[in-house]
Amino acid sequence: MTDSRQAPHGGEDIFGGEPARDARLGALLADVVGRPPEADWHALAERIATARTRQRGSWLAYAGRWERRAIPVAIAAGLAGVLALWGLGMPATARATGAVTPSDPVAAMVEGTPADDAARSFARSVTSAEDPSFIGAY
Amino acid sequence: MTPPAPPTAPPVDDRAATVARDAALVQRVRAGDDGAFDELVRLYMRQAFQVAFRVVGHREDAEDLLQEAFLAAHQYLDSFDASRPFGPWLMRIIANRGANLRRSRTRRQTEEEVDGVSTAPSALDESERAEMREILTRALATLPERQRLIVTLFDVDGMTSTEIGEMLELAPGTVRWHLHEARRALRAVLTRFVGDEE
Repeated sequence: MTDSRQAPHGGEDIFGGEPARDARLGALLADVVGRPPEADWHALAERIATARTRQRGSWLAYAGRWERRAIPVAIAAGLAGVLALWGLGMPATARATGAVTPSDPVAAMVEGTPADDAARSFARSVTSAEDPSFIGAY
Repeated sequence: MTPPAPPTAPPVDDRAATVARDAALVQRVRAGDDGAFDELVRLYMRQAFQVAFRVVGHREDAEDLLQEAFLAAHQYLDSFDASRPFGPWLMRIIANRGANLRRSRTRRQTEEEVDGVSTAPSALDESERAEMREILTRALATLPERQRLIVTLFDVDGMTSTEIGEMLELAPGTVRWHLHEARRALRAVLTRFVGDEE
């Protein structure tokens, strides 16, 4: 059980080229592990082709083909969505805040608006009521 | 006795031609040509089966693994680098998936698939051979999975350290180191049968 390429320490020269085959060890190993059996290659190829055809129809295979591209795209889309909501949310809040700011009835009267109309406009801006006729009840 | 070369393994000299041929086939598969994938199956089926058998140690498991590996290769073909040969990529799939399969089927007995005529040294009588086989089997079982596979693929199946390295994603020098370690361990237990010739 020897090799033609021997290192000084008695083993193979693992830093050199390809080690020589150890035919004797190979034979002993083959006796233990056996040699790969012959298979019915035609049947095996048919089996693989059939399985591939089945695989193509499955949604799992379809998803699998896209997962490498879909995952980064989904992450990017998620981030973009969060950023968009965050970006849109700020002015929307500001706009909403502005919408409920009561109009200035004094300024309106200075500009010539009748006091009644200025009061109604002010009430409308505070209550958002379409018909602030209830103001007259007070 | 000269170990047989893998049946359809492309010669090293033809590596560039093999890469070009595989790249063309892969391109056709990506374009939807199923026949091109069948051609890849035919080209690599024998070598792949040999490796699968070495990984799982059982014929039926090897066939299952072979099918699973080809389906995975087909499914993930977009991630294959066509500037490299298809074979080692496929063998890596087999090695990785086979390790999982092997772990999940540890209770299954390894099939005896000896090819009729014994290749063991004829000087040993039957009882000695049986004892030696038992000891060698135990010694193989104590080897790390990677070393067991490497020494078998190299000394029994005749693969080169480069081919094994491509398959296991190891440098050829690393493969040779594992081979050296595996041989040393096996020779140590065999010295009483064959003598220490080193």
